[in-house]
Amino acid sequence: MKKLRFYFLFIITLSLLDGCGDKCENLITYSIQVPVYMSKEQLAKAVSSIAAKALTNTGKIWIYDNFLFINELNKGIHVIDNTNPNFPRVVSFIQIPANVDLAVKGNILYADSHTNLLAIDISNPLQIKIVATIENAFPPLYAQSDPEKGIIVDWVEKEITEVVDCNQRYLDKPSIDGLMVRNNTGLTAQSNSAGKAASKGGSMARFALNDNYLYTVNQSNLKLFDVKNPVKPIAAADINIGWGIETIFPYKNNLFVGSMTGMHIFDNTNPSKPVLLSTYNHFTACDPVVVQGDYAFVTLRTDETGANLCPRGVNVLDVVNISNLRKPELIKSYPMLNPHGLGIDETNLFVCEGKHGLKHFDAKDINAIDKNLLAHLQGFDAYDVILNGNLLIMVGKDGLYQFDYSSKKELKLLSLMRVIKD
Amino acid sequence: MIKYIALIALFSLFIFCQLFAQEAKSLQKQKGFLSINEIGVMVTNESALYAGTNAQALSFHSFNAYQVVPSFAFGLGLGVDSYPDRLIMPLTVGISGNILKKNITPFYKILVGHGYNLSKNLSNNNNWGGADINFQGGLVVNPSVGLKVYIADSKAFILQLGYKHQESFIEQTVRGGSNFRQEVTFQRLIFSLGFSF
Repeated sequence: MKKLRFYFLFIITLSLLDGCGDKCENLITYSIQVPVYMSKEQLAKAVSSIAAKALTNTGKIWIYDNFLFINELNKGIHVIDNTNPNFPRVVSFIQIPANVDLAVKGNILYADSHTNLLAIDISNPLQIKIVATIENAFPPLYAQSDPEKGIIVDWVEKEITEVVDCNQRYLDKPSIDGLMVRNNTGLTAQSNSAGKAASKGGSMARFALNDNYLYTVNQSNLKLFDVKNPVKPIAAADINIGWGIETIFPYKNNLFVGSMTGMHIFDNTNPSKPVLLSTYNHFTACDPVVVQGDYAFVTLRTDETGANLCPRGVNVLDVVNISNLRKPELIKSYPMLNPHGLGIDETNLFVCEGKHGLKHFDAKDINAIDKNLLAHLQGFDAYDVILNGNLLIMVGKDGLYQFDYSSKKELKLLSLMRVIKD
Repeated sequence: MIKYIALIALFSLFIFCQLFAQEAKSLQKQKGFLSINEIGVMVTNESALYAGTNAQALSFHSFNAYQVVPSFAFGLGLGVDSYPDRLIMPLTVGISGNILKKNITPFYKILVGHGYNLSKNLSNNNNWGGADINFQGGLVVNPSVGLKVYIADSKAFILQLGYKHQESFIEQTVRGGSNFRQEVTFQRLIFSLGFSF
């Protein structure tokens, strides 16, 4: 019996010895952006209106009359009834693949979709209708393409888990973030005085409208579309204005075009043939511009998204004297945190500071704007604003905010429509 | 190589027991509190984790139990295992017992439990934006056999050969996106010396 116990122990021990040797497995999980392809036919058929849905990844904004239009990056446009800013109501969502920019004239919504310009009848936001398409109006939105798979209309995040050699120790390996190479030629919108009803976009826009023309900018060109007949837009002038074009702001008889290296001023007395008057040069930075009276307000910022678009470390608000449009002169440069879109109404100047919130300045004294900070609201992301009467409409990664700024003492929050992430 | 050394040691141990076990008054405790305390080296002849570097580790362990009869005791084990890049504290439940009633006797011990990480978690900044590193323990299974040499009432020196299966994980979140998870299973032979009372 005792010998049996010995042998039992011996066998057990032998079997355990076979399992000796450390085992190791390294798993690396990371997210990459993978392209979503669509054929041209699918792209055309995909444009439709569907029931209202939550904001998830907001982009450009436009107001027309009592309606707000908010771009959902690469997905389409939210239509919001803003008759009562205290209770904005999402009416519908217009699906437009590869859409970034928009403008609205009457009942016609102009929107880009990949390389196409669409004119969409939105008289019934729940039952929209494409009334015109101008193909190849813009450069492709994304650089990469696989002609066999179709057109890249969006990028989605995909989680990848890889098993790698265990000798690859922790801390040795850099972060593997998804690479999304975006051809920064996407069109975005900007506004103008148009017709009786208020129709305008934010300062980050690349579309601008007047009565007869839709002005668009891509990375290198100012491109016009004749919209005298709104349902039949016609491609018009195409003007090369250099590299890094970002935004367009129409003011009176001029167009102010923001680029990564400066601000271009166009004489738009003849709306079909804008003429370059001058260029105000600045450091390489991302920069929208707004204008009031003799002054242009330009924000220059360093890109903090990791895309390394504007890496010069400049974050300022430049005030430029444009009383002589042929010779713009910098009056003063004010340090900011990370300024994005901005808006000015009389002496109320609002600057979106990205993740640092929203600033409200009294701009009565152009030389002492920094000394007249009325409010700095923090705790949310601020991307762009539209000022309309005493109503401030602001979008950011967190949602749509609306403030009443009739009192300089206090910005009164009227409503907040939160972004809901997928 | 280590496996062969272990086999020789094990075989010698059994032979030693057979040859030198003497019929004398038993010094073994019949019932009551039992404590086995040991220090050992945990060896492996191949390690996918520490390839090309010194992979050996030290183990300190204490098993405290209630002995029902000399061939069976049950109790709790607590120890510290020092691997080259991490410290693990195994907390186990287990059984142990003597095989013979003589003053030199083989014994067994089987422990099962969880190894808790004692390594300080790291938060490093580096060129890639930094990362948080979190060490974690896991399942531990530790059977062993050995020889007890009684020198006084209930007191014995022990020589022990064991096997330890210890799971351990490292979670690393790199600021900026990617996650790193390392799943390690240590499978070691343990040569231990100790004292039992």
